[in-house]
Amino acid sequence: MFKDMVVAAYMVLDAEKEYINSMNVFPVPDGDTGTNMTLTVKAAVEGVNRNPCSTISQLSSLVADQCLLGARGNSGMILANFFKGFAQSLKLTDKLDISNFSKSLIEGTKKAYQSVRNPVEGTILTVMNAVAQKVKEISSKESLNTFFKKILETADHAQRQTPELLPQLKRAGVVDAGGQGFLSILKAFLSVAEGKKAEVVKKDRLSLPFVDYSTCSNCLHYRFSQEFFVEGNSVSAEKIGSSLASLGDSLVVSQIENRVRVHIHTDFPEKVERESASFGKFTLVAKDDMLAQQKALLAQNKIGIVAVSPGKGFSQILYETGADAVVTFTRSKPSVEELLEACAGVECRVVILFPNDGDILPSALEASRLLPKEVKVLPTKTVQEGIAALLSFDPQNSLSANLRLMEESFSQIKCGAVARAVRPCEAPEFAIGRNDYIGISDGRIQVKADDLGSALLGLLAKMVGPEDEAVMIYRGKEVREAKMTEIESLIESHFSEKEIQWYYGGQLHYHFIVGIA
Amino acid sequence: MSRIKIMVDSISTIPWETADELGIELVPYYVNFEGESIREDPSFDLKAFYKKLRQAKDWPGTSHPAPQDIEERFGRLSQEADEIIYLMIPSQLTETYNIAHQLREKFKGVRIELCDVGSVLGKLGLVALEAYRLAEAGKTVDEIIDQVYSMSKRSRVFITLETLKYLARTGRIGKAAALLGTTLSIKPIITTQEGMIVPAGKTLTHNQAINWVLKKIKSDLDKFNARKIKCFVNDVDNRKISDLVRARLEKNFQCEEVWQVEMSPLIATATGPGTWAVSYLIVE
Repeated sequence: MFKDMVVAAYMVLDAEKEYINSMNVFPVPDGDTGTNMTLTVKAAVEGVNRNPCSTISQLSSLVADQCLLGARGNSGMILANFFKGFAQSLKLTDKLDISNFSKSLIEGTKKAYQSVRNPVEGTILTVMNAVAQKVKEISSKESLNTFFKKILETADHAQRQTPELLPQLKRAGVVDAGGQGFLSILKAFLSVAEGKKAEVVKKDRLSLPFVDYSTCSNCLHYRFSQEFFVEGNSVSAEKIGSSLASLGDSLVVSQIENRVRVHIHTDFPEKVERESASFGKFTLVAKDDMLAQQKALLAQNKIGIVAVSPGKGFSQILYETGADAVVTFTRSKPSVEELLEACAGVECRVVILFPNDGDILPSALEASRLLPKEVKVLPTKTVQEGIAALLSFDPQNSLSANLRLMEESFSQIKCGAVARAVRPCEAPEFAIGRNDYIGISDGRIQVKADDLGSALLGLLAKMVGPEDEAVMIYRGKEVREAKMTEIESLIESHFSEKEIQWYYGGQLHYHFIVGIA
Repeated sequence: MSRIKIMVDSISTIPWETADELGIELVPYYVNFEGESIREDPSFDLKAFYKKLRQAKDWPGTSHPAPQDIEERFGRLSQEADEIIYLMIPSQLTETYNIAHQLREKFKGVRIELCDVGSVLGKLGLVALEAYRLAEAGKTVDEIIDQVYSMSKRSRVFITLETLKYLARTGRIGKAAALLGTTLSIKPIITTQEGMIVPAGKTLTHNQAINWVLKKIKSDLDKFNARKIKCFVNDVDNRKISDLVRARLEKNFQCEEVWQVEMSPLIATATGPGTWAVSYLIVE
């Protein structure tokens, strides 16, 4: 019967694995818990199919060994250890009745807890534990059928509680994936106990909102980072690791003969030292106050960035790329006072100001002279240059290194624009009538055309060279979105080798602003 | 003299034939694709894999080595050697360390050292190749491990991606998440730091990314007051770019060794099409 149970468990897991995968957010949200548990049990099924067993103790230890060998992932390792404990409890018996089942479920749970360096509630462990507690209350005179029904009920209840115990689950709006896998296994056990065929219904993935990984538990910071050696004749990485596990995170323990090297993030460096020193000679390699480092860095070295933007779309891009303040203008260019205000509002000792327009450069320089704090003006003449420069900004670099890098990177971008002539004029090679579309780059009119698409195409044909990879085209406020399909396919068919990127810039006057890199 | 064998994860992208020739033992990782668990081994058909990948409805998953893969190697090597050094990818990224740690208990007669180099790809490969050479030169396990940790401080890996969306799927995006969700389509450059994935830079084009990497190498050479490097260039189905990167490296630096190898299928799955990577070790 136990063999049938294991086979049924595999079938149910296999059918539900995608569903389980989709709720996997802890400890690493990598969406593979269902697959891992399925592969772990699959190894057991393959094992029992190859090696016929005559007794339950043989069978259960074969299942445990096979699971351990085939174990995948965190939940797979826990499950395999569960079966190991399960089997150990059946070592001296030849029948699987309720009393033996109860004992082995309890032992399995114990072993599962032991296998984890830092047991976390709200996971598969919680569900196992609920079952282990429940079986103590169930009379051994019950039918196996009722026994499993009661267990499943308890497990189901515990599983629903997991989000209350583990904030990561609650935030993601799911129950625990490993716990769900364990539930599938118990469901399979019940159906075998009832003498029925296991209910194998393929379950689809849950559709979940996007999880913000930056707020995951693994990114949480303790105040101190500590690295040290513990040296002694009988030191064990395992023992030191488990004694420190509750004192912090990012714990990495590795053993090199009689030395154990430890890295830990903690709020209690003295406790860590005391605890570790009880195992052997403690030698500190490094201890950093990460909070102080972070604060010092923020207050002293943080360089503020203020950028001028010709439209709403650009403003969003500039903010996303790292600007601390953006001065957006529409018809008239920003005044010195507006620039001053923006620079003063950024809480940093040093500010880099991006005028992003040749005409605004003088005002920017004037603003930098008037402010009491240090303001460096990066002489960007277009907003495309400003974006390119911002991308190479590295908050860890010094001001001078950043200025050098940014100047280098903005000088590498080619800039152009398409607009409509507001009055007739003469260009060196052609006469331009009112309402003609013109393409400008290098401060000169390069092309003219009757329609917008041709003007853009003509301009790009003049500007894009064989070594260029990417063409960024920012649509102005006056260009209707409906017109874009036609223009996009015209441009993309001519430059199929290049990466053409379309953005909304929101600028006035220029129908398109173009950056080529 | 005691006999030392080197084991290293297939994610190091040391070519299988090289490993075979030298007697370095590669430990295979897995890609789970369309219900199948495919092993990274010499029979892995990369071309077919990439082709399937481009048409894939469901993006594949990845998996650490099966315990039996590690156990089999521990068993076999312990017949040939007295000591084994297993260099592996960071324990923050997979279960491999825990599995190997549990398994080595079974092999009492042989000393097995587990070395978390804190990185992936060529950085792991370069360090493993050096470890092999040190073993060949008669160094002891302790000397080799000391060297391994000091070399990992003199080496780096930079991975340039087309997009972060594949990495976000794996859940192993770490602090590189800071680069997610921007309007502008940038080429993010990521690296590893103490076993964690962290953002390193962002550029508009691959060409800019190459220049970015060359600058980093230059500044590292200055920092160590050195002239020579050994390096790995990896690509995901993009020979053109790895040829270009290789040419630029060879033109700008004294390269003692250049390994140009296709990306490990696992890293390809985790980072997506178009990805390329440079790893280097500062020699002297």
